[in-house]
Amino acid sequence: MDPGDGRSTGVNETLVAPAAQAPSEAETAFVELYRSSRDDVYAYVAGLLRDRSAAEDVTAQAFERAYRRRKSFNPNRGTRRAWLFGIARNAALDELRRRRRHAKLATEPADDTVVPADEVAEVSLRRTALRQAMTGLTARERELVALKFFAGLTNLEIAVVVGTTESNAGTRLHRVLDKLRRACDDA
Amino acid sequence: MTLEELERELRADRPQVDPDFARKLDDWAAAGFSRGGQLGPQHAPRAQRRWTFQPTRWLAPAGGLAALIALVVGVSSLQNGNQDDAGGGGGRGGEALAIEDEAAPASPPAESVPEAADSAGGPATAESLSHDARRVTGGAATGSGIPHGKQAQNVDLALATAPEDFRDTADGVLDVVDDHSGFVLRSSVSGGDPSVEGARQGRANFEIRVPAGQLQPAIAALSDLGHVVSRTDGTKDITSRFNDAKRRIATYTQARDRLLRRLEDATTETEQDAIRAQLRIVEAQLAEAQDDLGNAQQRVQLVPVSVTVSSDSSVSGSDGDWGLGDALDDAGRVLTVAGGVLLISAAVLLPLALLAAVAWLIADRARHRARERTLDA
Repeated sequence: MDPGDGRSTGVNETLVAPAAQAPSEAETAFVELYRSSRDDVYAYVAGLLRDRSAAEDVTAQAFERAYRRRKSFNPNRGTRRAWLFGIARNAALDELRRRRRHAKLATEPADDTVVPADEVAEVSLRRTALRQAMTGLTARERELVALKFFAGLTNLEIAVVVGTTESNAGTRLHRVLDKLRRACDDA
Repeated sequence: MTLEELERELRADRPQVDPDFARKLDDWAAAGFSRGGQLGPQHAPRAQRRWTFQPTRWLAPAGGLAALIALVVGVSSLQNGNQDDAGGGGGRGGEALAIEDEAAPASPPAESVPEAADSAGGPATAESLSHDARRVTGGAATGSGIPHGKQAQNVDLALATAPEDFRDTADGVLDVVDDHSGFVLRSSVSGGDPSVEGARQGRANFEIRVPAGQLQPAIAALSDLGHVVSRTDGTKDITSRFNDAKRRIATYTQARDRLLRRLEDATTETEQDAIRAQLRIVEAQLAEAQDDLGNAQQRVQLVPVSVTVSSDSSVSGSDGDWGLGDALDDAGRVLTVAGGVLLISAAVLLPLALLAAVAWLIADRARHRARERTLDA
């Protein structure tokens, strides 16, 4: 499985540092991180929250938090992406908590992804079945799927983000995929 | 559906970023995620719209407050220490005790002392004498925390002065005694003449008596004359001596009165001679008791003060010259005070910092658990 499959695409704007002086190492690294992870973070948060508007807010918030704490990154505790997704995860979970405190039901994902007209009916059916199966997952299971297939994290990075071991992350992910596959087959 | 197909489908169904949001986020990122939000109200980070716990945001004011408290405590402690040092020891001294402010106002003026002493002339005035003594000494005894009763005080004071100031200091002792209605019982002054080889070092001893009501102001004035090397305050309860003298006076007065009555009734010369002989003995005993009472009264009224003045070349003079040694002394004092403030601040701040750290850890763990519970709900 190529973890790079899910990496950001379509990032075509150059991030310009406003500072008059040359950017520091942490600054430069953050710019690179932002470029490579913007879409991934959004995809992960949107997959977890199932709310595009909230996902945009949380994505912006996650990047802002990461930017403010960019100098606190410790390479001994994982990759920059894992660190960033840890921050995004906290922001997303805070948002989930806030919504539950306010007794609002998490809205279902806006199914506004239009299947291109030229896609065959079989693909459309499969996509529909998959989305249906996704709704049967718990938030924790959905998070694993989002980190792996929407954000493109490796099992090791996932383990760092959710606070478990790499093997445990792989095992849990495998079980979720099995569950999803069975649900799709049953559909 | 195979596992590979499932994975492919999941990647293909990945949520895509809205281009408008992506552009706004890029702009905001380019602006360094400036406060106020470049994404507009709709996309403003919620962290900016609602309260969130940020340890650094709270630690700074808490730390500042703690530092302020520590500073106030430190400064007030040092000031108290300085007051304790300077209370009885004057400006240049430092070791003396601070009791003058409490004792002096409660004591009667010095003029009352001779009156009280004069009234100790006969048995009929014993009570009033006792009353006066209580009035004179009671304030000082109560004010200085000494139990009620007849307290006999004494003070030993050792002063050091610069050789060139020795004579002035010795003269100053006499002036202070005069100013406070005291008197010198004994004095000896030797040396202390800077112009005479071998007589530069001076030493003076004064045995003085100071009215109890003037004791603390007098000691404070004496302490101002030089550097206080040592000061010893003593108090002895002589209430029993008072009571014993009064009881004896009463007993002998009654005995004398009885003898006088018997003398009036005596008819024979032999009997009268015998009574007169007894009367002389009783009157002698009565006079002795009255003397004892007077002495005790005087012991309370007039406090013995021993003042020793010695010249010391290490003590700076009062000529106003301020040299390198003084600068070093002052620098040492400043460093001591600064060190004290830092030490006290650290003593206050360290526990607070530990408490804050523990509180932050607990809050962090609680927040982490709450987040994880969200996924399980």
